Amino acid sequence: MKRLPVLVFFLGPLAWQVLTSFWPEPELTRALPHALTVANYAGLGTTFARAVLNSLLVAAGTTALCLAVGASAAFAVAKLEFRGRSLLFGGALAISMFPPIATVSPLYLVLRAAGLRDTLAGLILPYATFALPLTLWLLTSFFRDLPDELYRAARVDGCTPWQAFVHVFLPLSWPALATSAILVFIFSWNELLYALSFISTPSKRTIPVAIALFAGEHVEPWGQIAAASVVATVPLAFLTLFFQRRIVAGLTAGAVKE
Amino acid sequence: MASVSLDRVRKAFPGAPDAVHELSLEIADGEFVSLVGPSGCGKSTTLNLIAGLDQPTSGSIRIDGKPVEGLEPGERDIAMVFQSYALYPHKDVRGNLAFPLEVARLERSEIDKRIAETAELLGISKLLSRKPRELSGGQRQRVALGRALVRKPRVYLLDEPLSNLDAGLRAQMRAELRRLHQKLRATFIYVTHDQAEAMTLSDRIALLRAGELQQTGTPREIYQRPANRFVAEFFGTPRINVVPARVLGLEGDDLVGIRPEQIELLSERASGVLEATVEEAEMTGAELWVTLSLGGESMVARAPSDFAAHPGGRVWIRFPADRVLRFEQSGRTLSQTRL
Amino acid sequence: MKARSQAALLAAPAMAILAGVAVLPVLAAIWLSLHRSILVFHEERFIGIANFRFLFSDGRFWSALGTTAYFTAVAVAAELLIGLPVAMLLQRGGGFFRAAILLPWAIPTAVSARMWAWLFNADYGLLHRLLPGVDWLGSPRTALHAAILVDVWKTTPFVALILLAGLSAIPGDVVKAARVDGARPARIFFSITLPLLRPAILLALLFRSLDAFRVFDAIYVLTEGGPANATETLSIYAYKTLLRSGDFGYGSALSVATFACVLGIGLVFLRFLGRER
Repeated sequence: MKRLPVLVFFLGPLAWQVLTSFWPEPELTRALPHALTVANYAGLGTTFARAVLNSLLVAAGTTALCLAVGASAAFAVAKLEFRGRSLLFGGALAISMFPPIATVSPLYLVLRAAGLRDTLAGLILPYATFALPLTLWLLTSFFRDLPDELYRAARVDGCTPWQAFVHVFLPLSWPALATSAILVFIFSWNELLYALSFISTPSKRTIPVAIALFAGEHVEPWGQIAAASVVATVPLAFLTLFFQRRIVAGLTAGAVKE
Repeated sequence: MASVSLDRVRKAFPGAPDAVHELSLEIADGEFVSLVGPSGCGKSTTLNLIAGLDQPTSGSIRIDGKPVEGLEPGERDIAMVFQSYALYPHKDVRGNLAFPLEVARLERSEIDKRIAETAELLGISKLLSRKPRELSGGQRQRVALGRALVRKPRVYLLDEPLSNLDAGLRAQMRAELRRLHQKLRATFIYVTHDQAEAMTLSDRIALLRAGELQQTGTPREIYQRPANRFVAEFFGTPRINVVPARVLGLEGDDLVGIRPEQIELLSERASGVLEATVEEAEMTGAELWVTLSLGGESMVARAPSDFAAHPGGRVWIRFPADRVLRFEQSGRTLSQTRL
Repeated sequence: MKARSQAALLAAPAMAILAGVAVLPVLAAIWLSLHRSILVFHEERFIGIANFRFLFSDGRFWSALGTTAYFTAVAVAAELLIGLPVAMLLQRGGGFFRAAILLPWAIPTAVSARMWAWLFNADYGLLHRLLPGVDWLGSPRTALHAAILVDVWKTTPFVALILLAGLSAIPGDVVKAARVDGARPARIFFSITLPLLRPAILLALLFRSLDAFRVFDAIYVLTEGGPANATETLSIYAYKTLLRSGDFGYGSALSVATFACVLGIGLVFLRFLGRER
């Protein structure tokens, strides 16, 4: 039962939040509520529903972009020879360590000049800063683990490098693609700084921005905030519950040398 | 079918000695040639160069008399069997066999016909809808072979195809490869580090060491007239004995080599024999490998299994003088003069 | 060769995107930091290193740097100290336990910070009810530690997973051999497990230090840098200068300074890790 204090520490605050979300707002001053209510959820309204949709769009868009671009590049880095191969891989690793604040100012100016500031599409490219290196890292280590002889066999069988990628390596890589997709989705779903900096219209906010800036007219609406938090957490709770093996494998990929 | 010729082929990787150095080799149409050598000798690199998976730094390669420079691997009319078999894990056996033909855009009916023929030939007709992971090692090996055969290429390149099989299966596949070669009459280039495998399979052997060709010849030539000490020591189990000439009572300061099976052991003194002490006797079943001490050197001789040899005991040896190989002092080249 | 140029083509889109969204912006930020640039005044003028000269005499910068360093050091140390025992608990398996631990890591920092803000609430928060008398977010002394607690809650699972991977890589035979040699569990932990875990610990330290040093979300949501700038980190200060004051010149200088610090930390760690291999 050594696990109990650990579980209390990590899940206790979440449980309290769930309870708060069903807690009637006027009763928040009491030790415990008399009755539970769904009023906090009902009161979230369309603005927050928009935020959920926005987050979904941005996270899905980032995931699609990074997988589309990252898979072929990772295959090239892992199995082919070309100029700039180590530059790409090393550069991607270095970029994943960049603090996002370092690129906020120029990206803001560029997005503004391109008319993409305050648009959801304008968030997807900046999100590639952290999402694409992650995709490259995961997929490259996956492709590296597939035998070189498989590539050479495909070449001898008449494939161009591109055909070898499409017909042999891509069909084999769906586990790694799934892992990358889940992690990129989570990271994009959770991002705050870029979204806060580049989005100004309330109806275009993503969930983290909406929750960070959630405000009532006079006092903080803690019950509604709790309800919004629960809504933002539920999809991630499902992801972690169903895909925890993949997530753990992805997070710790390359953490230990075989 | 086609000949393969390599003309002063060189392959250099940055910051390392040449992986293949000025290699010239003529392989005739329909010949079974083995490239042999210890690991890192350049044999696999040579195979990759012929396949077009790697480009030579200099020199030229011709298949059927035509230079293949700039041709993609798929355009060279070759097929290759890999050590790990490299079967496509997501395709079933039929898909694996069909893949090279699909890439080459053959007619569906032709593809089906060839798959049926090949599966029949290799006895894998019942496995066509299985995935590679559902096959045993020997079955995978056959599918890998089949994927090469369906293409009816002019040249087969085989990169240590038997080294992942257990001993029994390996002997069986060896015989099957030999049969297949005779039936197809195609050119086979076979890479192995196993000298016994090269001996039993090949029409001709090319021995490489550190990227340099040491000798080419039939198995018999290579075994009986090795070009240098390295070649002499590479072939034969147990290894050839190399000792100073005086140990065998011969003239000169050179090193000489005598194979273990050429040494005759006697339990009594006779005329023209040398005296030796038994250090150790290893029973292998059919025969006895006896380690002898003679003039401060160790030598191994093969004796019938009932020969009585006890460590510390005394024996006498004799050998046919014309079977002694004489190496130059450098140890590298063999003088042509026979004793 | 045909094959070679095709390889470069396969990698080209990714390279272009990374160059466009990361490499060029960092260079542009450096360029911007050499300017006086106030968006609302449409002012844009090259002033050399004047921003950095100002930065060196800017007390608020040094205070933010100190806050960031303190936050990083304490948070990462706590995460390692808690993460190791959690990793050892995780080692005994249990899919649900693993998923439960993973949950705090998976939810948005903004959400978890809001959640903790409610727990810290000075009137009705749960922590306030359990431990009355502490105004967690209202007092400069405790506010930073409250932020550290939120970070520890959220990222200890990540640290534990990295350490778990390290623990799983230790061959069971080594531990068996130590037991046969008569070592007791504590001895095995300090003489076998911990030394063999070193690379994983260093890696967790590297990831977490770089990540903690750029902390923004938790503090922005909890305190926005207050009270009295007591929780203002470099990222928060740079953000406020850029997007609240619209001072893109000095804000970029602060961003570049943050970048330089992260780069420095990264290089130091890579040197240690390099020695490890």
